[in-house]
Amino acid sequence: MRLSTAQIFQQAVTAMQNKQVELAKTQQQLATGQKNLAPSDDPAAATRILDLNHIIETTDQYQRNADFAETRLAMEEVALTSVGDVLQRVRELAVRAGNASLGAEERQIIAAEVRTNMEDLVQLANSKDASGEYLFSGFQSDTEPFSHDGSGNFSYAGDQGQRSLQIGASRQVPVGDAGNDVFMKVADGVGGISNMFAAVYDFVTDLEANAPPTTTITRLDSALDTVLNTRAAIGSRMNTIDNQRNANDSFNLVLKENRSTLEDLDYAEAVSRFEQQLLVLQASQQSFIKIEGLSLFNYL
Amino acid sequence: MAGSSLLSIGSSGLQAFQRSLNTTGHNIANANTEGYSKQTVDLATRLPQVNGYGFAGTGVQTTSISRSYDAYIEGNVRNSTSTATEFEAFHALASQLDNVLADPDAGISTSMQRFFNALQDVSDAPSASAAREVLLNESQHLADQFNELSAWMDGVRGQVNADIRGSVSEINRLSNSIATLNESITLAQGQSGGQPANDLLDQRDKVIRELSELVSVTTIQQDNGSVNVLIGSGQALVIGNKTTTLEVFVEASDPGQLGVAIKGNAGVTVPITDQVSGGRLGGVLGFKERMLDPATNSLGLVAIGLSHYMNEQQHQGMDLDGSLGGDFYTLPQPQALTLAGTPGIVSVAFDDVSQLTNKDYTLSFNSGAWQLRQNDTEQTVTMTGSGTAADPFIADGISFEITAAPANGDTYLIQPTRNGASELQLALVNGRQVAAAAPLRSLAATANTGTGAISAGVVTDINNSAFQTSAGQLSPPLLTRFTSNTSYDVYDNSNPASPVLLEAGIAYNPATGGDVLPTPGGLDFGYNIRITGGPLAGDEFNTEYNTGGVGDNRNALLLSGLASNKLMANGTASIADSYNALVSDVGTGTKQAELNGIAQNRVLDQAISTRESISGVNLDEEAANLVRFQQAYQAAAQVIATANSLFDTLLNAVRR
Repeated sequence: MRLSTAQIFQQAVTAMQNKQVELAKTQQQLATGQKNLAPSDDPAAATRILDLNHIIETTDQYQRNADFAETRLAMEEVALTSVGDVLQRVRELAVRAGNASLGAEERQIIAAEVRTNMEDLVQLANSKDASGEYLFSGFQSDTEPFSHDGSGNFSYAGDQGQRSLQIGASRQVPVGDAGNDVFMKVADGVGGISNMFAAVYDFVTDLEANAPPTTTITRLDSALDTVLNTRAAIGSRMNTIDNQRNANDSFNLVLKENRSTLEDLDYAEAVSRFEQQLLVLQASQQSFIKIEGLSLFNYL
Repeated sequence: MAGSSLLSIGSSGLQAFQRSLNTTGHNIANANTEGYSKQTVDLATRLPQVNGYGFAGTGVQTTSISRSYDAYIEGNVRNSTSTATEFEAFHALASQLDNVLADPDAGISTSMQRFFNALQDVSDAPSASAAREVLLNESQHLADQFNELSAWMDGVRGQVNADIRGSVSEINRLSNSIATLNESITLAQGQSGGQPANDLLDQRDKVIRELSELVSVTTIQQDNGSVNVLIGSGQALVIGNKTTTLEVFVEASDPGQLGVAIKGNAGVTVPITDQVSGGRLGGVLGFKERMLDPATNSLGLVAIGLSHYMNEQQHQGMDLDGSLGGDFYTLPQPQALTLAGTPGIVSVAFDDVSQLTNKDYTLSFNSGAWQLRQNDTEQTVTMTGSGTAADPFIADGISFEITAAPANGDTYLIQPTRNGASELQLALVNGRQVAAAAPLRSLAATANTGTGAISAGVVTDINNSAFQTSAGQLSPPLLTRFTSNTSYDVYDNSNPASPVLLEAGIAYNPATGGDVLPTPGGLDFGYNIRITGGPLAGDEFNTEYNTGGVGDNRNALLLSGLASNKLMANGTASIADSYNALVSDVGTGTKQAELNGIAQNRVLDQAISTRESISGVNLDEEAANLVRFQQAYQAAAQVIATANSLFDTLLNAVRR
């Protein structure tokens, strides 16, 4: 085919420009480490990456929720352990006070200690979590749940709400127990239901009247049972959280690998492509110079 | 006379080769002139002299100077130029959208993710004001992001308009220039007795090629040498030395969008926006119609989906101050624009956001019936209903109410989602208004002796009078009292001292439990509670307003669940999915334009090569021609010298 001089020039220039475009793209890939620089490079991968980002970041949020849930449960656990310790101490004192040879003065000393313990119990039942919310007041988390009128009537101002947190795509875990269930449902020793504080209060009243405790040990045992059961439930929730956290971790690991194959550049391939493109560009430049030097006019 | 005849033959050669050398020089001089076609001197023998012995040659004559040119190839170049520039213009605009939509800073994805994460942080600590403030900021940021992206798209629309304006004024300049050249060519060729005016013809071809970069054109060659140029579906742009002017105007169907019109003979302008294709103008208009409009609508759809479903769920909840949740975002509204006929008698509203599309529609009243048509496919959409307030027309998630008597020919443009992204505004003013809690709670009486449990309660209809009668309380609060292990009564517990019996003797199955509401007798308070386990006679359950329930996160969990619920596109896509679909559509469209552009550029390169192989100047060829014609010139000069010496010989012989 016949070629025009202008076309020979233009073709060489166009070829070099195209090579430069390719080279610039590879260079940008190398600089960013990204395989695709815009969604149009691979629309299917772009959407998949957005999808994966969403799932990965949501799972990261579940991990944060899990941390939050664990912290809150740990605080509840600490409060209930203390409640258990106090109840245990009161129970020891109840056993000692049951001794018929005990004098009035000794019973008064014990009474003083148990009264302190009772106040401790109310205080523990009114514990707050890290964000200042009452642990045992149900949904009414800024209402102090337990109060004492000074004459043995203990009332619960919270409700029976139980907050759950999302720790997995389809898993929620309760992060608290309403005080009603933990402190207000203790056997009263005569077939009915009373509260934990009243058991201790009645013990104090007995002691101050220099009488041996009557139903105290039964009631304390019932209270200790409730506390233990609640702690067991907390333990199993913490297990659930641990399991879910591990599951979330492995899930995210797989997703991140998946995302990496979609968006990360294969450096070995890209570097060798870069070298090749560089070589081709240099070759076109050199051949351009030689061809442009050719002209019949040089010989006229 | 023999001598003078030889002299004449020699001088005819001298003249012919002088012209050939001149033309070669002209070719060399114009080797780099754009649009120049190589010229050749066409030589022929002169008329021979008839003698008794036969025909005696009389030398050479120049018949014409012609250019190497092929009208068909030139047409190919023109057409492929139009197609290639169309894709280039489309791609240049599309790649801007493409780059921005998936950008982690400019796109919506990152902000939406942060928004939903902040919502979960509120569910972790619903009474913590810090988490609520963060959510408020993220919500504002998300709305800003929608607004900014929409404003940015408006900026792209501005570029489209500027391109249309620029292209139209350039088309007018070029068509004037073609008309002027037509006139010059007709004149020049008439004066030269029909010889081709090569350089003027080249110039005109070049101008037509420039025109085809702007818009697809058809040319018709006339006998007098002029060329008529048509655009669109046959609208004449240039006829001989006359032109018709193109104008831009604001599209009635799309305020803020320029269209193209042609100014007819009687000064009447006819819109031809839909007819023009190819070139820069075709590419820009195609981008606007096939990518920018759908993308703007899709982004609006995402904003509407987000605000509608956030509001719906937020309304079901209770805020930190114990009030029922208000709007989270201000819901952008669909719009109806009167295109023709009775103004403003169509009132549009969202009927079912999950069925919304990213389409625009035309609603028209013809032959006594209303018809809805999708604008891009021009397909009719079936509407249900009768168009009254009580029974509006419904189609694709939109409802239409006709508020006054229509007349035949009434036409309305319906844009359900066009302004979605620009109008999205945060309605909350402080973090306390986030309705993280549910408005009701249930309690089992402490004195209960059975094992019955009651669910926390789920709102089914927040508009029920139970919630709406009196702020901050349930009307009425409910007491469920068991009369045996298989039967219970339901009381209005407004006055706990003396509950009022609402319905008695409702059966209960301890094995399966049961929903308390709606009751067998038909009581429904817009929520549901469920009792399970084995309650005993005398056991009581209360359901009341969630007063003071600041630690409740039930509604916050439901709000953050909106992130993954399939709410859009008839329940097939989450809100994030519908944004991803936009990214994918734009990516695919951009990719396609790029690939088509590359393919068309190959075709164009090929067409240019073919034209250059015919019309281009090759300097080596011209150098060879220089040598050839120089030699021929020298030879012709030698012929004259010979004729001269022959004449001298004769003179000398006579003198002797």
